[in-house]
Amino acid sequence: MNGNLSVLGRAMRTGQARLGLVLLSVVGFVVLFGHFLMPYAPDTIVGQPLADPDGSFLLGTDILGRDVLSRLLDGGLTLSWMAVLAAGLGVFLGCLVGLTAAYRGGAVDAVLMRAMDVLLSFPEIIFVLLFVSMLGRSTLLTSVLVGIAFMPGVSRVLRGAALPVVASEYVLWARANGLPPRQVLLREVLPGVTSPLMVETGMRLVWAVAAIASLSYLGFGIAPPAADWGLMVGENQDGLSVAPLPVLAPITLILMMALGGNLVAESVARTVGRTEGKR
Amino acid sequence: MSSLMTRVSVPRGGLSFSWLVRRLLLGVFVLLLVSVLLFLVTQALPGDVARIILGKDATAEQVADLRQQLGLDRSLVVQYWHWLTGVLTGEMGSSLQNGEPVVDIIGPRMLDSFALGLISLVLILPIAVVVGVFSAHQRDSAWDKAFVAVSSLFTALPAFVVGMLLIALFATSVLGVLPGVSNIPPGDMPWWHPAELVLPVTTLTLMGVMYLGRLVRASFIDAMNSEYVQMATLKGLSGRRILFRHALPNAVAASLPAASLVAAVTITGVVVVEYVYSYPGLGTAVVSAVNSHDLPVLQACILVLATAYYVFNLLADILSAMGRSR
Amino acid sequence: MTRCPTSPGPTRSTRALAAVLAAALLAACSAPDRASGGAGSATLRIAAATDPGETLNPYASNQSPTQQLRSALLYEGLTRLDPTGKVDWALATDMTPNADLTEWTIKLRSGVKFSDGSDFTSADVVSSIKYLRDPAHAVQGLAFIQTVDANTVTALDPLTVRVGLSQPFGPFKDIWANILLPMTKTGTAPAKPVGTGPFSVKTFTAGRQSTLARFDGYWGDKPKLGAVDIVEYESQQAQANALLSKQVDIASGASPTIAKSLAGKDGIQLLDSKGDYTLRIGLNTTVAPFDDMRVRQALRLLIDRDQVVSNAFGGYARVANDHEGGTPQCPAPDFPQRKQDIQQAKKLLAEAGQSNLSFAITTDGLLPGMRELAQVFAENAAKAGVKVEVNVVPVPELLSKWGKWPAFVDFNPIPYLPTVIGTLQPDQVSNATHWDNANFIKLSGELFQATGDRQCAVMNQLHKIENEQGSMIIPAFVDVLMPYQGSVQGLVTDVNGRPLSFLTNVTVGS
Repeated sequence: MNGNLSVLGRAMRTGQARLGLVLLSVVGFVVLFGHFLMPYAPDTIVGQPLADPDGSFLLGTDILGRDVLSRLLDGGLTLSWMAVLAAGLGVFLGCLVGLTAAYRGGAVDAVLMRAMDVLLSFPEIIFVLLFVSMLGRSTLLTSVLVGIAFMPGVSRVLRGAALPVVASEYVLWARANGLPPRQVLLREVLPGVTSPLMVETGMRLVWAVAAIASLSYLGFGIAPPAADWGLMVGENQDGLSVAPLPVLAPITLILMMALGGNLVAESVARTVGRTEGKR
Repeated sequence: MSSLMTRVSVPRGGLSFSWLVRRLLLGVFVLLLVSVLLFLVTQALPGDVARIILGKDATAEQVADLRQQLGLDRSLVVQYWHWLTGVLTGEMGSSLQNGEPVVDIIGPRMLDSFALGLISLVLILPIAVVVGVFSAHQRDSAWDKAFVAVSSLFTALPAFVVGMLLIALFATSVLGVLPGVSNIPPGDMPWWHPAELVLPVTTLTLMGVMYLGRLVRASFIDAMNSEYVQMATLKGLSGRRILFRHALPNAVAASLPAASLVAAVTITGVVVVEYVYSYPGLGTAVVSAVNSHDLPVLQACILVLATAYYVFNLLADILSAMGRSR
Repeated sequence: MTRCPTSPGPTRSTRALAAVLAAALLAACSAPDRASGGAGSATLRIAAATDPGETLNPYASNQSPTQQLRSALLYEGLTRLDPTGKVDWALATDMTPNADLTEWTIKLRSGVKFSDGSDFTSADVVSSIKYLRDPAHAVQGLAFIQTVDANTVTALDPLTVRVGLSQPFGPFKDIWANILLPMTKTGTAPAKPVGTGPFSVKTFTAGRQSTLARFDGYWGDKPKLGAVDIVEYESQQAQANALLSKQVDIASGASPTIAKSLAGKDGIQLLDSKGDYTLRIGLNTTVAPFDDMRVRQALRLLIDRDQVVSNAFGGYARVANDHEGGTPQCPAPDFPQRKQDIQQAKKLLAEAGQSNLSFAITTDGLLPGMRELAQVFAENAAKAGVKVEVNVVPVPELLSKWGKWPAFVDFNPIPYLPTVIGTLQPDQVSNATHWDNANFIKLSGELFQATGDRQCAVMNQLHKIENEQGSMIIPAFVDVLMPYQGSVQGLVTDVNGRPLSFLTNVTVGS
């Protein structure tokens, strides 16, 4: 019976991962190729505001009279690269700090991790709000800030994962043989923490999408008149009750993107958990 | 979502009283650093605060006078010391916007925010345990699959989307049975207006339950698979006894660190939710203080939120360390 | 109406649920009973924009629409504007100048009481004018009374005041109708100002909520309402939601989209005040290339005014012709309407050597339509190869660099005469484009000394100068939109966009 369950479960899991991949590919297709399929330029005013969908505007027009479909097809790219940059930066910095702390130990470890505690005390949204209001609004700045806000969380995970690796025999052997720390970290320690690294990257990507969309909604993210999914929700929410599509369409895409990423990351995490559990 | 669990650091060596004391002292030190960072960042905000207060019709002399009056021309160290001693004695200065004492402004808002956060937590914890355990118990049933799918959906949704959809569903577009905006008149306790609390509490609770319930489900499945429980089953103990005496306590204990992280996230998640519902708490105060460059209010609000966030994180660390030593 | 503990829950089941929740959670804590009195004392609940910086001081230097909305119900000036824009007597009943218009004698209304019960006399007028005129107080309306010589303001008897001016000034009566120049009781401003208005303050919490109660000793027509609640919300969307869930009776701020989506829903109606309120794009004449009149005229030719009206303001506006509005007595002249002309604009830009012009328009998006106006213009300008970016900044940032922005979105809610004094003269802070036109200055000098028909003729000439050489792109006169519950009766529209100043005949309920 147990075997049946595990087979069933496994099928479900692969199904879940497959669903995630399908969602991500649809969104990825829109993000990468949408630009070439737009019926109108995304910033052009082509009709009356909040017109109902018809033959010329398949999803209607937005609050300014721009074509919703065109803006939808154009609006994923910025959000995507911002999320990728933020997650990448967060994982890179977190990895750097976490591995260094684990490897060096002692005072370096203590100082680094307390510094991370200080950063960790600022909730992500608050942290970004604080600096954006100080330095002004720019897409690059926002993604860098989200990345920095992710750093403490990632560093704690990776430090935890690296500690047993650092204490392992082959790392001790490499250090005793005088290999430079950078090589030891890159060749010996990093491969030992790839699984948590992958899970972290996936989850941070999902969170970055949510955080950046929320910031755009609060008015501190991507600036108008850019076409952007988060911004579209904020811009058009006044008309939600007469024209729901300009709000619901970008929400659907954000959701597909985040949900797809979430499903894939979760299945990876679970597979990792199973294989490591057996070791 | 497993990352939050592993975020917790482990004490080297066993768990002892001196470790706890050291951890708490370190916590105080970290909070001090938080205050320094916060102060430095906010004092560097662009724009002349005095000009912002007086508006576009004021002359340069009036602006200079006000700068002096506010102490904006003193050195940063002096300003920081003055501010820190003020915070510790409850004298946090006055709002630059309307001259009212900061304590009077954020006091009631703290109460509103914490009431919102605590009511949500009181609901999240038992519901998450019941839903998670039930789901794990009925593993792979239609209910379980539905729960896993819905919770994936919710953890991927930004809070403002959930809020907006709930407003449209229950307040403005479809049903119209609940207030769409959660205004609490000044001087009133939030719980005098339960109808206004329903939607913001529901938003936070939904998001918390979906996240924590998922973790409880995973922990419970682990606990049921543990050698200890398998042994008990082999020994012929009843299913109910195993469930309530062995598996459940283990699952709850394993979820506790995550629960206090959820608490931390809930306390600060109120920022976006408060904004969506126009609820008069610390979150709306932060957004408005950022927009109006009201430094004393901004600093006080963020300090309170950061402290609450840090305390819950610390609690998570300690609980997890206790769990491991056990 | 009972507010606690269930508050405005619309259905019985909600109330029951709410009551159970309340009892279960905190049985011991109960709300005080705040049921208000019987018939004829209804409360009008107004949703307004949050203003954490507000005070009760009507002379404060940086007042938001929310604060002005409250002030209009609490305080009165010597004269006032009626909903059609005509100047009426208020606390004064007559003003007579000397022969060269440098000294005015003001007759005050008798029998007026302050809301604390004391008599309103000439001493209060003298102290109010002196307070207003003191530069140290940096009052917002200072620009309008700069010719008043504070030292010469004297009380001749309890109901007569004499005011001396540093320059001849004819339209004295018009100036005192400004909402920023009210009269308050001696010694009460700025901390606890007492006024003579139809309402007085009952409770006030900055940035949150205030309750005003009817002042029964008011000299004029007493309002039918017993009280007015002004409740502040973070966003216009929140105001709309509050209106939809019946938590307020009227929303004082609504974007065209909100107005359109609310109208007719659950019996909600729209108070649509058409007037001479302008949203405009200012071009800083001290910054190249906007110092070149050809460039400014070219940009004025680029904007598609019909599209601004239909798309930025959802049709709740009418096309304007690059000058401010006229007055009811003196409508703006009827010269040809400027229309979008890309070719002519390109030609002018080429002549000025600015064919590849690129710049940013800054806005704080404070009022509905500001951001949209800038975006529609950016889109129009692109047709002539002019690249325009929209730079949205927080309110404080806009104010902190006020007068330095090369191009910005601005608004003007006041009648033409104070506009000429306050924002079209070179040295006024409100003149953020630093427009300095010798002809205009000379003519406005004439305006200040003219009376009657002559005044009108001069105004028409001033409008023409604005149209031909001005520093503002003024594409539309914008309606002020306030959706309200069908149960509210007696609201009036106002050409100056402040319909909530006129609550005398308003009632709430069936």
